[in-house]
Amino acid sequence: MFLIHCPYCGEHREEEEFHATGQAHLPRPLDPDSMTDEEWGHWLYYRKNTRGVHREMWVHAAGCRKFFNVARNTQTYEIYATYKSGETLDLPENPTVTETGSILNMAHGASDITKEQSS
Amino acid sequence: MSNSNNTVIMNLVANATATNACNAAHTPMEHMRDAVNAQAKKGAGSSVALTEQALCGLVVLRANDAKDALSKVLNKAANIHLPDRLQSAENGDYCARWMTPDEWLLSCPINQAFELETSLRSEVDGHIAVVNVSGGFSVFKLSGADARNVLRKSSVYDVNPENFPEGKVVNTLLAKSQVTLRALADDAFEIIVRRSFADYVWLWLQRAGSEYDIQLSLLDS
Amino acid sequence: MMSTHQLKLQQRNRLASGGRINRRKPLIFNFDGRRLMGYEGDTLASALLANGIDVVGRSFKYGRPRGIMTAGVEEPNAVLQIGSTESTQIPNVKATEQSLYHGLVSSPVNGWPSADHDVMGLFGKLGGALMSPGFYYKTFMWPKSQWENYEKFIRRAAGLGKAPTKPDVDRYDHMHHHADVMVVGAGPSGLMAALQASRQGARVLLADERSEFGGSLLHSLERIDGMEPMDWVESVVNELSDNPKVTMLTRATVNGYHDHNFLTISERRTDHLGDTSPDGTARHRFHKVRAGSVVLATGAHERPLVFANNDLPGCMIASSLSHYIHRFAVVPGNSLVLMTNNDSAYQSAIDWLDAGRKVVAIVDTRKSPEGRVVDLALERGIRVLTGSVIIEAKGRKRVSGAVVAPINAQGTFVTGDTRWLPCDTIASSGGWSPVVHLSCHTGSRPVWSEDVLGFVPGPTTEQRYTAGSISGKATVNECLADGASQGRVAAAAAGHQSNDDINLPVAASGNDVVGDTMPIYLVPHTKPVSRAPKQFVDMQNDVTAAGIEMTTREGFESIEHVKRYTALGFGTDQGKTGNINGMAIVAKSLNKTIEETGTTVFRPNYTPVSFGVVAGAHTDALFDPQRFTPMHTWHLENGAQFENVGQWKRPLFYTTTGETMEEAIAREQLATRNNVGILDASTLGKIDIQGKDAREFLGRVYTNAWAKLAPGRCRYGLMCGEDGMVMDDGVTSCLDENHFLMTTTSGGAARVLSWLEIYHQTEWPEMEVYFNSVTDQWATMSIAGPDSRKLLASLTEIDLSAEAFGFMDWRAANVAGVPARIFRISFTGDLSYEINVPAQYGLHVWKALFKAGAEYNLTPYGTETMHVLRAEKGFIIVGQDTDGSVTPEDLNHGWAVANNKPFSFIGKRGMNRADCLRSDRKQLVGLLTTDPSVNLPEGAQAVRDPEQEIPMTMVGHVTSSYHSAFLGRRIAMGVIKDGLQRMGEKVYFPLVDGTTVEATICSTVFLDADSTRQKS
Repeated sequence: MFLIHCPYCGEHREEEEFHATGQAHLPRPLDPDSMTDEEWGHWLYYRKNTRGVHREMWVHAAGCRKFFNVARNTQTYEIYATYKSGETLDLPENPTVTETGSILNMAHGASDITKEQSS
Repeated sequence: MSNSNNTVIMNLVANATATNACNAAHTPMEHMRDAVNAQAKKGAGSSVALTEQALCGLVVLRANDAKDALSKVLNKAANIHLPDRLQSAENGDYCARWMTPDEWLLSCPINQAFELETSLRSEVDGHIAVVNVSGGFSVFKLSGADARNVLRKSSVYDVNPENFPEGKVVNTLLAKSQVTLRALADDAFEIIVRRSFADYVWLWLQRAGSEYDIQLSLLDS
Repeated sequence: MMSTHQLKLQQRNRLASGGRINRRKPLIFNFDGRRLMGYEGDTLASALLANGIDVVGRSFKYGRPRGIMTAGVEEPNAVLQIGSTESTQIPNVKATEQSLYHGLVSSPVNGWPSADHDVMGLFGKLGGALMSPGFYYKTFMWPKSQWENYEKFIRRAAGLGKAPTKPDVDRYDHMHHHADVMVVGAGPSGLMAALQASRQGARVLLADERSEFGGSLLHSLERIDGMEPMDWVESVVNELSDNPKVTMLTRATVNGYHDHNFLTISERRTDHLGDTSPDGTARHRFHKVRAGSVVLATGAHERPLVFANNDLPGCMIASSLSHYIHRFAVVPGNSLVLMTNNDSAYQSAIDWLDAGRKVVAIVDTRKSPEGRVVDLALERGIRVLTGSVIIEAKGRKRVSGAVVAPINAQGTFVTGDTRWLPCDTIASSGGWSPVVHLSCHTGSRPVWSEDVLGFVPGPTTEQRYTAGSISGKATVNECLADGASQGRVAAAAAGHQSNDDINLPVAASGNDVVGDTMPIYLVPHTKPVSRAPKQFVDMQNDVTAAGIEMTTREGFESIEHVKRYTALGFGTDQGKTGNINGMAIVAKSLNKTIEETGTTVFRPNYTPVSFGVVAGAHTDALFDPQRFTPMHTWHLENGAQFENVGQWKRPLFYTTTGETMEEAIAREQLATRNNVGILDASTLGKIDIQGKDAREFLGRVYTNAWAKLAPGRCRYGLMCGEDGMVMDDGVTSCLDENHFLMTTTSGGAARVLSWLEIYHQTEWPEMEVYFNSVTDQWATMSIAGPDSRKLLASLTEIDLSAEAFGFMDWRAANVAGVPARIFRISFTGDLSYEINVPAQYGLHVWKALFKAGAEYNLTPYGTETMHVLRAEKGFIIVGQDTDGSVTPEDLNHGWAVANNKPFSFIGKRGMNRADCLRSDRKQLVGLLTTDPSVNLPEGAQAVRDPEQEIPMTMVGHVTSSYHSAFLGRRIAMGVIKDGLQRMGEKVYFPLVDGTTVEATICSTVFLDADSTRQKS
């Protein structure tokens, strides 16, 4: 069970209050009518199945009902950061947990792993 | 006929609330009032109480850029400003609760809801929305030394006093229902729930509070 | 029946004084049909041992007699069935964890017909070969068809406990906690961690599985700060309980450790009080904890050494002797031989001697043990045989002697003659295995430590700390110090720093020399492993050293495979005593180190939890929210039979006269078509939409056009996904130029609101529009039928004439003195008005309508009649006539698609894919059976030629099918390939009963094709 920072409520909240809605940063094409069936199908159906750092869109369903982005690691379950929809976030190649990430692993435990990965 | 229809209904609401339509109003808890009040004990062992604040006026306010303008008009009408994130602003019978970055829930005496709705809508210039939802929610009050424990048995939210002090408002879950929780005092909390979930939340709290000998009461509306 | 005094005397292993039991509170209990006595404070295990009960069960595979082996959660053998009534049966209770209560009824789970006389015991004697590793796979899996029969026999004979057949009478609940520091385990390390964290101001949660805090101090003589150990524990507990930010839980097992420091605790609140929990008290409580930092102070489990016949009753873990003696005043035997590879076990022999029983010898695997305790034992005259082992236990239902032999320094073979030491108890200690289980739950792999001779927690992404013997700390002083320092950093990491000095208590044995532990797991026998008597590794699953060796010979090298093939660690004890020994044996037979072989990873739960506690209060009426409309009480009083629509309770039909459902819905249909009926439609989703871009937004999310809808007008809208498939529909009304009220299907309300929000928030945030759910705000009642106008006219002042208030108009009005919105829309095809009033007035208006409606025979109808009426008119139900693969064109709803809108609305691109443009897609059509009385079941598959060979080519299926009372025949709708081009053609529906139904494809509109009724 994740503890997720809602960038709108400004607090970490329990996962039960949220729903995951899939891969983030997949803007709707501006001119769908000019796309081929294949291009359209690709946008509509194809999704990454990332092992490692991944961007997802979540919604604070039982809270403020706002959609936002989560940068997390699908292997370690670390959340590096959350940020509002419409925003972008650059992450280094070996990201570390930030203030809007999973507050729980900011101390020694996580950095051990992070160091392992970066070395 | 453009605006006329909508204005008509607002006038009707005004007339109805001004006259005696309130007598025709029913809260979702009424069907259990007699049963609840019959078994209400005034036992000394009870450390938590649950009541319904029947038939409140409730108005949803929405604004982004026009927030300050809306706040100003609200202040003129009810002497409160729109509160910041996770906060509430209260003045007598009026209370505004932060719901989302562009939404507040305003409670007021039920016979004031229409007036507020019309004045806010007409006096604020800009992109706002005002929706009278007085019939759409139930307001409960949970109080007593074990009120926080009843919430701990019911909600995933961190209700420890250092995280949930007086005046704070959160939208969260109570069992499987979405609710708005507000800390009224160290040992008193307000629970606002969609009307159709009122029974479920009441029964849940009744059960969660049974180990604290919960006292239930439903006033005549 | 024996008197209380006689029962008291039966406790032949009970000491006259001492122990943390209350001798003034005797408790009578029952085991395997025998009446016995114990005391308040006992566990079931200590009470059984006090009464000299040797055999508590039969082993799973071989049916060998088994006795209590440990004093804690790691117990593999004493797994019992508890409960005095059918509804309070609990299988798989560890006697070592179960507190004794008056009237407790217990029996062995795996002895049939009884533990002392076991049929399977014979099976076991017949041979290890028959029940070898992989036994199930090799024997009973073939022939596959017979597995079910084999399984029944094996399960009955082996016995895995018995589930209750009657409903649980107890209550359960949940509680959420948010703590700065969660400390797991309240031994010396955990207590100090909690104490230190709380002194730094942290909110602390401390949980321990036992009935009392103290951990190893419960059975220790170690004085701390000059106090008796349990007095020191009490002083700590007192300080903690004075702190309002500290929560302490006993009888509370932390069962799961999940991502982001989320832990679950199963607290057994009343299992020590009786068979059922007292009124109003939850029997078990599931605590769900979110912690800033977690300190695992879970301690270590002493593991036995593996020797021949080590499963005989009377063979126990060394430390459990001290535990029973000091905590329960029970000495579980008379004469002891104790084998150890380390210092810690010596104390057990000393305690045994001090309790007045005989210590035959301590057998130490080490050539020259040097610790202080060795001197203490020798000073008391205890015989110590060094460089020796017990190679075999002798006895039938209880140990009668130990066979002892010298070994080489590596402990790999016997070097000299054996000798026989008569005794009734053999205790062994093979060292301490850190309890790493919880640390594994979040995916952290434990690592082997040569210093500890055990696996210790590995690195983790969690903010997790470990304190005490889980980290290999051996002495009380080390544990106290480690607990304090880990508590300090854990609190600091959670935001509660302190620079104050730590006030560290000191244990008396502080500077005593502690000897090294010798790495030995399987004790050598004079015979090879394969020929020696059985040397058990995992008692609960009857896994032997020979079995593991055989498994590796068969080619299983991965520890995960060995585990699954042998079932090592698969029992309810999860291999707490056997795993390390098993891995050591695997490593040895593969000529690898334990580090190279590795370990399996533990998963939740640490110990079994009840289903009840997982469900908590989410049962019965509280299982899922039941949503009620404002008119629900009226429905209840008027014979409504309800159906679930999502979480809503909706009247399905009404009956008060004992008529059948069919009769009731026929009556409701006719009353509505001929006079007037009323439906509670409050469950329809309603979304208030305001803002200057509201109209444009509607145009983007609906397939049809909204640019010209004027205030006062309503329009049906169809909503598609990006794939072009229909996902919802409903009527949206223009309240004002920039203000709309959207209705959705009852089940789709939340989904549609979320759909609007996601597009607004993520795709078109520049659009000025707000969405608010007003589903609960409005009570909605639909009156339909020729008399509906007259009825409504009697309650409102506005002009209802067709000229003044046309079809698809809405008006604000008073209805029964209450402000209302009246929508002239229809889901029945009849003259119809949908009345919306604020929910608090719903019941009032509903009742007023009935008062006024008496003269028109106003009839309430439910969802079933609604379904029939709408089907007569060909109105679709999204989710019934559609299934996510149906486009508007497939529904013949092309009229509701405005392809010429400037914005490429949601669904447009999808529905224009080549595949969606095929003319031979499945299309919604009406179906009339040739025989008007024949039911075409919903879901029935259509074929064009019923005579074709099987498998037939299917061309569609039935989506809706009803008996229309008004039309006097069955009507149906279905999706048929190319159906819209095949009007009048016959299709056939071969049914499962072998019959075939013939039907004709027709229009979906069965009634009033030119809509004169609804527009009248």
